[in-house]
Amino acid sequence: MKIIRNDSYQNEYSSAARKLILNAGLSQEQAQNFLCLNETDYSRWWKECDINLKASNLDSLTKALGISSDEAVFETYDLTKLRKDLFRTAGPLPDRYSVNSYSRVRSSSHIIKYLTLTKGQMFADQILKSMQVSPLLFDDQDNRISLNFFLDLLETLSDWGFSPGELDNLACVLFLGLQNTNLGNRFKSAQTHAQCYAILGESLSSFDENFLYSYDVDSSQFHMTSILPFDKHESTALSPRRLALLQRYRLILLGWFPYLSGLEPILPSVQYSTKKSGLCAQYSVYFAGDKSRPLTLCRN
Amino acid sequence: MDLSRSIDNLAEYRRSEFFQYLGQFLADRRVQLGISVDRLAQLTLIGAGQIREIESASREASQQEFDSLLAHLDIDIYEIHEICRVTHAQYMLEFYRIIDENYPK
Repeated sequence: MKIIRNDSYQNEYSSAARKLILNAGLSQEQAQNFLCLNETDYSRWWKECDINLKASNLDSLTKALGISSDEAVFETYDLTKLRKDLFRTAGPLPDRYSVNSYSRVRSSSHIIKYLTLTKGQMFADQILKSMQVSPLLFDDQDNRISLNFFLDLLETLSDWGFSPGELDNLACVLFLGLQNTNLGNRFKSAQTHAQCYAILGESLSSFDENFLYSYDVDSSQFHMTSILPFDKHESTALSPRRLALLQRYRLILLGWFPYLSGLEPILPSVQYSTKKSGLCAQYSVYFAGDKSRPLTLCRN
Repeated sequence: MDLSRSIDNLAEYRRSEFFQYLGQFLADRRVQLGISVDRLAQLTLIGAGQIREIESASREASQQEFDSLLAHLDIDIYEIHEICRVTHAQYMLEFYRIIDENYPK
């Protein structure tokens, strides 16, 4: 079906362009350039003032995205392909995230998936876009990124209105990023808390190398010391607020690993201290006794 | 958790959040597949207005509507169970926040 090109369709052009921009996850700057509008006209159009688009504007936008105007108007384009093509041409990671890239994206991919599931693709895209990071980075869980990315992500979400409670949720949905992976299957196979934490101890480097870890596990308890070494993180932006966000997240995360094995979570006790070499956290998890709570206890 | 298809079972933990996330997920999938609301309405025999309400979570999908939407949007029930697990984890966390002394203040 072809679009009839006359003035009465200008609103359809506007509506199609607006949807396409949001679905594709274009930045306002990209959208303005692709539509061939100057800044003032673009701003007036986006705010739904008195400007409608011409067919040529929509043509220019769709051409830049490799689809036809018909596909945009009737929403019949392949969005997955369009996004892949679009983000593939995005620039490299900012230095802030590529220098000292001791984290693997598997340590944050569940957060992106959680945002996509609960807030929508568009929201997740906007967050990543505001950080100049392509969603394609998360296609390979072994891709590396700096701790700054994770800190920025928590801080950005907090700035965007996430309450402490909502941020806590991010630490208990690790399963979203490990689904159908070897590591996820290993955790799934654990029958006891001791087995689960033994797997965690063995796989700590699969998540990140920002921290120096030592751990000890037996049938009744798990102890782990993590040190964030100063000499390795000279370029990491650590403010008290960012550190508090990170510490809170990691405490809940550590308690939530058993959930990957279908076992009840156990929040650890923790002691923080500052050593000459770095920031130290000592976690203790006790498996047996009163703290055991069957998952079925938590039903409505 | 078994792979139940019952919408009441899936929404068991935090009903309002479940339908909110489900609506968002259905809308995202529809857009990814390039299907308009009107086209989906034709395929599923659910009114376009009702689909918009389900997507915006202003209305809960019935079991029949849920089954039909999943079938026509090519959604595996496993994907919906991920949403269910998210609401379960959120519910558990809420529980721990109240009773666990180690929960951060």
